[in-house]
Formats: sequence, C-alpha cells, structure tokens
Amino acid sequence: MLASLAFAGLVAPRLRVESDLTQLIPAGGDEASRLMTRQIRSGVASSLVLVGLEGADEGRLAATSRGLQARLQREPGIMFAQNGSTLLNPDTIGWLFAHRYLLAPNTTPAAFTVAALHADFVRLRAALASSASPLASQYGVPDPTGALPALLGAWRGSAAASLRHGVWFAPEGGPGPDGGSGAEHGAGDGAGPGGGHRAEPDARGGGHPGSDGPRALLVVRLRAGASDGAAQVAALAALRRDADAAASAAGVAHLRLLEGGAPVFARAAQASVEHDVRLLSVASLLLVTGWLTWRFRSPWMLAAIGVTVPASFAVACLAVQFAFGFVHAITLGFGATMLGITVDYPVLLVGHRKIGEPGPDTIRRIGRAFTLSVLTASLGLSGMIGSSFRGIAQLGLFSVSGILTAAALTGWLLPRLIERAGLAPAYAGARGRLPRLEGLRRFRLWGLLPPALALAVLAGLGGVRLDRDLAALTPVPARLLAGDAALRADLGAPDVGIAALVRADSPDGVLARETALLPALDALRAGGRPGADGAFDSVEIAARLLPDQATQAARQAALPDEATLAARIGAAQAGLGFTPAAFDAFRQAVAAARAGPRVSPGDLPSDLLRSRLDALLFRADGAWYGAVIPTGLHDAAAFRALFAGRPGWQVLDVRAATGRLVGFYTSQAWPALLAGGGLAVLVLLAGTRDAWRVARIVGAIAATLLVTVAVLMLVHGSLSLIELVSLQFVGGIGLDYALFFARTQIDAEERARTLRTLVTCNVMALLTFSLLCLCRTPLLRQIGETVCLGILLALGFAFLFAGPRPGTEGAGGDEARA
Amino acid sequence: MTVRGSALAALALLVVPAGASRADPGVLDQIMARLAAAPSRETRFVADKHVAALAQPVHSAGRMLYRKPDHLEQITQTPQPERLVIDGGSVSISSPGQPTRRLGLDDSPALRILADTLLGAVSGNRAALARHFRIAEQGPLQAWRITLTPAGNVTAQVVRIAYIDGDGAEVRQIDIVQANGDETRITLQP
Repeated sequence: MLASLAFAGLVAPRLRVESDLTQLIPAGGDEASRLMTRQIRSGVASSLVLVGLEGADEGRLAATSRGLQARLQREPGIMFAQNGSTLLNPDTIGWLFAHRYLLAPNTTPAAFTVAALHADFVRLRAALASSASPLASQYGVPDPTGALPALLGAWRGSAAASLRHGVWFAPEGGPGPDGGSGAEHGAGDGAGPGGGHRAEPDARGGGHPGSDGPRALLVVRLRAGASDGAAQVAALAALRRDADAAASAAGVAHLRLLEGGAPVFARAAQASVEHDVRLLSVASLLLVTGWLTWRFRSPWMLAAIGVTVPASFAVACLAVQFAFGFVHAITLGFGATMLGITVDYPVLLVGHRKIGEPGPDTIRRIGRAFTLSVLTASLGLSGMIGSSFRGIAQLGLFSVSGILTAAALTGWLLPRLIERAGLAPAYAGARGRLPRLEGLRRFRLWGLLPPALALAVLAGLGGVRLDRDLAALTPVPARLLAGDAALRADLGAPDVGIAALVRADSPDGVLARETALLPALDALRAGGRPGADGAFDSVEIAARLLPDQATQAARQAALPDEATLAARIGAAQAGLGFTPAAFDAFRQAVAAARAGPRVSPGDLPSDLLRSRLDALLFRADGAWYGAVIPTGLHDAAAFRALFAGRPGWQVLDVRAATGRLVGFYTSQAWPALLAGGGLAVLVLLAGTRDAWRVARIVGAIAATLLVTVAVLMLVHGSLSLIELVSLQFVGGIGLDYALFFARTQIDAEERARTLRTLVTCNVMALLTFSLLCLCRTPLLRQIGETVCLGILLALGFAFLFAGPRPGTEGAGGDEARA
Repeated sequence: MTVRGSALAALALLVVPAGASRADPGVLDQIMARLAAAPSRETRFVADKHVAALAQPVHSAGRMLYRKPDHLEQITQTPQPERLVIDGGSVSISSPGQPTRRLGLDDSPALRILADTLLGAVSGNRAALARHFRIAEQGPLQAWRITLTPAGNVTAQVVRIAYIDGDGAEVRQIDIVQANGDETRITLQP
C-alpha cells in the first residue's frame, strides 16, 4: 500500500491540470465552426469585461465611475477602461482630425461648392459668437464642412448608453427631460455644419431588469486572453479592489458591482469546477472509508483498497496526460468518483473470501465473473475514447485505464496481501434471509412491467429526444448570465447570435467587399416603408470605421485642388466678417489629404480604436475575414437573404453551429454505445456459452437502461450528451451485478456472500455518485442523477432477472444438502 | 463702541492702506473668502469676444447666475439668445429651436480649464483655480486684481493669461486670453 501511495505521490506533481473549459470543445468540425471556436478562445471578446455600478444616486455613481476609470488605466493588467467620458483621448482625436477627410463619409464634391461652404461659414460664425467658441475655434474653423463630427458619428455607432454627468449610464425608459440630447466627445462644432451629428432621443427600451436605480457603465479590456486564466482572474480581482476604492472615495456606502463578459464567465466556471473537484475528492473519500470500515470492521480493508485505488488513479492520470498532454479538472473530478467503481474490485474479492481461505482460491471462485465484468466494462467504456469530443475521450481513457489497473492489482497482488492480513467479511450474510429474498425471483415476470411501461412512455413522448444545446453544459450560474445580458443590452454591445463573415486575401479586399454591401445594409436597416422598423437596429461593420482604398481614392479626387478651393472660400466668406487668413488651416488640411498617403488598418493609433477594428477585421488561416454583426435583429431571414448569392460571404448562426456540433458528437455516441454493447455481448457468449443466461443478463441491463431513459425523458424532456455517456457507465455497472448474480454452481452460502457484497458495492457507488448531484457544475450533476438512478435499478433488475430462479440450477444444491 | 472696538477699527484702517502697495497673502484669502461666502449671485454682463478667425469682435450681453458651489448660468440675450450652464462636471448649451448640446468637462481639457476659470473666478474657489494656474494678486481690497498664469504645459496650451478684477466681494471683470490669441472679456454689472 505504501508503494502504491508513493507511486501516486510521484505522479501528482508531474500532472498538468487544466481548468479551461474551452479545452474540452472539439477541435474538428467545419471551417466556420473552427473560426468561431478560435475567436471565442482568443478574440477580442475573450478579454472584454462589462461593468455596471449601482447603489447610489447618479452624481456619486458618476464620480465612482470616473475614479474607477482613472485607477484602472494605471493597472498593468488592464489594457483600457472606458466609461464614455474620454472615449477618444486627445491624441486619438488629433489623429482622427488629421485624417478626417479620408475617413469622413461627407467628403463629396457637393460639400465643397460655394453654396455649401457659405452655409457652413454662416453656422460657424454663429458658433464662434456663442459660448462654445473655444471648441469652434479649435475644431470648427479648420473643419467647416464638419468632417470630424461626421466620422465620429460613424465610429460611435450603436451605443445605447446615454451620457450623464459625462459618463455612461444605462438608459431609463423614455427620452430625457430636455427632449433628447446628443452625446458629444469633446470635438464637434456646435452649429453642426455639413454632415453634423444628429441628436438622437434617448428612447431605447424600458428600465433594466433587477435594479431600481441608476446604473453607471464601463467597458474594460484585460491584457490577458482566454488562455491565461490566472492572469484574467488577477486582473478581475484588481478591478474589484479599484471599484471599492473608487466607491469609498466618492462617498458611496454600498456599491453593487455587476460584471459580465467572457473573463467573468471563465472565472465563475473555474471556481465552480474547482469547488466541485474539492467536494468530490474529499467527501467521497470520507464517505467511502466510513462505509467500508463499518461494513468490514477492519481497518485493513482500507489498506487493501489503499493498494489499488491510488495506483489505478495514478496510472489513469498518466495515461491521459500521455495521450492528450494535459488532464482536465473535470476529468479529475469524475475520476475521483471512479473511486466508487474501482473500490468495487477489492471489495468483491474480500467479500467473497471465506475465513482462512487461501487467497488464490477466492480468485478462482469468482474469477470468471470477475474477468468477464472487467472486460465488458472496459469494452463498453472504450467506445468513448474514439470520440472527437475531447472531454469524452479523456473520460473514456481515464476510466478504462483505471479499471484495468485496479482489476490487475486486485487479481494478482491483492490475494496474497489479504491472506497475509486475514481479511474476510466479519459477517458473511444471513443464510436465513436468502431463500426469502430469492423467493422474490418467482415474481420476476412482474419485473417486466416497469420496462414495458417505460417503452410505452417513450413511445408516448415520441421517442428519445436528444438535447443539442451546449448551453446546458455551462457551469456558469444563471444569475451571472442574466446580468451579462442586461449589461449588453444597456451598452448596445452586440452578442453574437447571427453574424455574416466575408473572406478575402487582404484587409483591403475585405473592406472593399463590405463597402459594396453598405448601401444594401443601410436600406435594410431603414426598412422598406417609412415608419416601418428595419430588419435590425444597427450593425457593426469594419468598412464603416475604415473605408477601403478605392473609397479613399474617390474622396481624395472629390477634394478640390488648391486654387479652386481658395477661390471658392473667397467667394463663400464674402461679407461674413471672417479674416482673410481664417481658413488657411482648412486649405492646408485639404491639400494634405488630397496628396497624402491613404489610411490602412495598421495605421490606427490607439488601443481602443484598434480593438474595435480588430474585432471586426481579423486574420485567420492565412486569409483575412470581416465580420458583420447586427444588433437588435428583428428579421433574421431578411438579413440572411442579403448575403445569399454573394461570393465570399457566409452567414453564421453561432447558436445553431454549436447545436450542430453537439448533434454531430451525439450521433457519434450512439454507434459507440451500440458497438461497445455488441462486443460485450459477444464476449459474454464466448465466456459463458449459455445463451439463455446471456439473454437474462442482457435483459437485466436493457430493462435498467429503458427505465432510466424513460424517467430522464419524463423529468427533463430530452436527453443530453452527458446523460448518454453516463448511461454507458450504468450499463457497465449493471453488467457487473448481473454477471455476479448469474454465477452458476454456487451454494447458498456463496450466494448470500454475493448478495451482501453486491449491496455493499452498490451503496458505495451510490454514496459517491450522489455527491455528484450536489455539484455546481450541471455537467457533473447530470452524471450523478443518471448514475444514481441507474445503479439502483441495475441492482434490482440484475437480482430479479440474472439470478437463477429458486428451485433451479445452483439453488437446488443447498436444499439437497439440507 | 467700546474703547477696544474703536482701537481695533483704527488699527484696521491703518493696516489695510499699508498693505495696498505690495502683494499681501492675506488679501487674496480675504477676497476668496468673501467671494465664496455668497450663496448665490445674479448680475448682468456684457462680453467682448475677440476671435482670431473673425475680423470684428463679438459683443454680447445678458445675465449671469451663480449658485453655490459649482453652478453657473450665462444667459445671453443679444445678439442671439443662448443659455450656457456649467454644473459640476458637465456643460450644456441651449438655444431656442435647437437641441441642447451636452459636453462633459472631462472630454476636453480646454473646456475644463475655461469652465474652471470662469467658475473659480465667480465662486472664489481657490482650489479650482490653483489646479491650473499660479495665482498672484495685487491691489487693495476695494480694487483688486488677480492674475492667473498657467501652472503647467496642459494649461499653457489653452490659456495664455487671465485676469480677474473686482472690488470688495464683487467681481467686476474677467479677462481670459487664450493660447491661440482669442480673448474674452466679460464685464459684470450688478
């Protein structure tokens, strides 16, 4: 035992354990799904955190928001923090200002006619006379056509959040008290010359769920991506600390912090998984040792188990690590519950030993059943190894290696040890009760009733429905998901449900294709008839942020040359009271834009602008892709129809894609189940050479599975992939029981011993698997429920069907002797 | 009046003229304290704005309202009606027939500095002024002038120099010369 523990101790530090759930997602599938998986794992979205602040009045929340933003900008783990106030810092505005004529949509010949310039100058004069003159002097005079406000309008996009006290707040229902106001960002000309920004009334949807006060909003991007979970957790902890500090600085007594976004989910999932693994490992250990000590009244029993279990656990971990390179935490957790199965083997051995019997004799007696059950269990589980769903494959390999190791140790090492220790059950089972219990088998035909009922129920429900929604597997609590959805709605940040993807060889190719689509997109958004809702509220598309080279060239051509512009300015400003040199800066800027280099994606200056563009224009597999993401989609069919027939475009329904993935892997699981089952039956036939007995064994298992499936369908309405996998497990355990009950040529004493031992094993398994029902991770909970139900039924049906009828083979021996 | 009281009064009369000809830190504090003491103030104003782009200065007139601690409204009546409200961290400008424009003071350092100067001048908020300027004052209490010179680079890029003239607890004139040469002179009349 010491050797075994030492071995396990050696193995543990060498294990690479991963907690990242995305590691379990299959790697295969079609190209679009792979892209999607990759974007999920390492795209911008994987490091974006949405923050909501509640719990005080608007003024204090605004101060907290500003304080938090300032603190976060200084944190090393945070790339940027946005609360709407300094959306564009002065450097970024400077850069955008310098390139405004190439980027702005209103650089057209019509904007530079004498009449248009004259109208702009009139507005400019009014602005200069007003209180906003400092801004007008800085941005209005060099930019009378309003290129900067126009391009800021395109960049601002669909933000639903309103600016109050200079920071973002979640919109309340209805327009603001002064009839709606536009949000400015420190630039932009008051009188709105040219394509100025239209003020939009603040009329987005009702209040936010679950809150009755104002909510300040922030968007934070972490430096670490999804692959660096530890760094993300550290950054999130820093965010919470800074929020508390900012709140106390602003005088907020009880700050409510809402968080959403992929890093938050990852943290919750990891915490949930770790909690479950700890619970399982510790509690199952305690429960099992307690039960066994009581049953066998000897600490040596534990020692016996101590030989097999750590060693088989270690071997299983090594095997998985060798094959996959890492062991996932969920595999470890499930493996800890495997304790309930591999502990069976030593218990079976010891439970059947007569006091004083030499070890090898016990083995010889139960050897056949034992070997058969180990073989068939391994065969049944080996079906999982072939799955391309890495989580399932790991579980399969883990289970099989563990089972084989435990069986080998039990068969070869243990007999000698238990003989040395004199281990045997203190109480071999009540001989008296046995005939009465076995008499129940007379009613075994009644046992056919539940399976028949189950069949009827299944037929009534329309067969077995398989659940394709991956969402059921997420360990993230529903409250967190709801909070994230609320924050997204407040910020108008699109959650990717349906997106269109275009592929090209270069970034400019992508932009060119998107530009060709813009008019149709705008038409769809505005709706066919005036007053009708469009197919979607707004859309995020890279071409609106950065025009392609062709468009930029067209804009350059639209700008008048120096002489023409000078003449037009002269004519337009006549009589308005401007100094002759007032528009020199304007003329210089136009000349520079006309002659200068065009803008490409690599030129964008700041982290914020870059992030926004990178989310919509990215490189993958040697090609460039552009994403078009609608928000507030009302008419998915119309959106899809827009892209039909356009080469290079495809529409991704992200949720449907994941559903297809699950369906694909579920459909893989069925044949694996059947193949494993078929192999097992063949082995049984070869081993026992008794078709009737095999039929009874198979019948017991079939009955178990039927009833379990029927109950699950009744309760859940559908069967998930995980429950399907657990059914394999139940089948394996049921096979164990059935094989041992079906042993022939054994006397009553032996049968009593068998019954007691199997009940011991059953209780042990129940103890450990019922712990799974307490886990936070729905995945593990489902396994627990299925297996608990299954093994209870398995014991019952195996006893009823697999065992010989009283008065027939085997049982008669005892009567004859008595 | 007691003998003590009259003696103190005489001392005060002696002290104040003596301090008139040199910078007296006590005077600045007194000015600021008196300005800050008023809970609200309402005055008429006349403003002259010299903008580099315009050949002629712009004249405007209207009313100015101040409410402690940081609420200032400039209601222009001529030449075009307009209402500028500086409140806390935001500025809003409304004209009849046009939607109100809201600007956050954090958006633009220029806006912040100018708003702070105006507000600081009217409210006696020394801390707000000291954030951006070096404060020097001169003159007796009846005819004081506070000179604001930029304390750092950021401010120097927005304001070249600013003057606040006043008498007693009243501000008479605010003169802001911006870095780009624009100058705004606001004269307040009670």
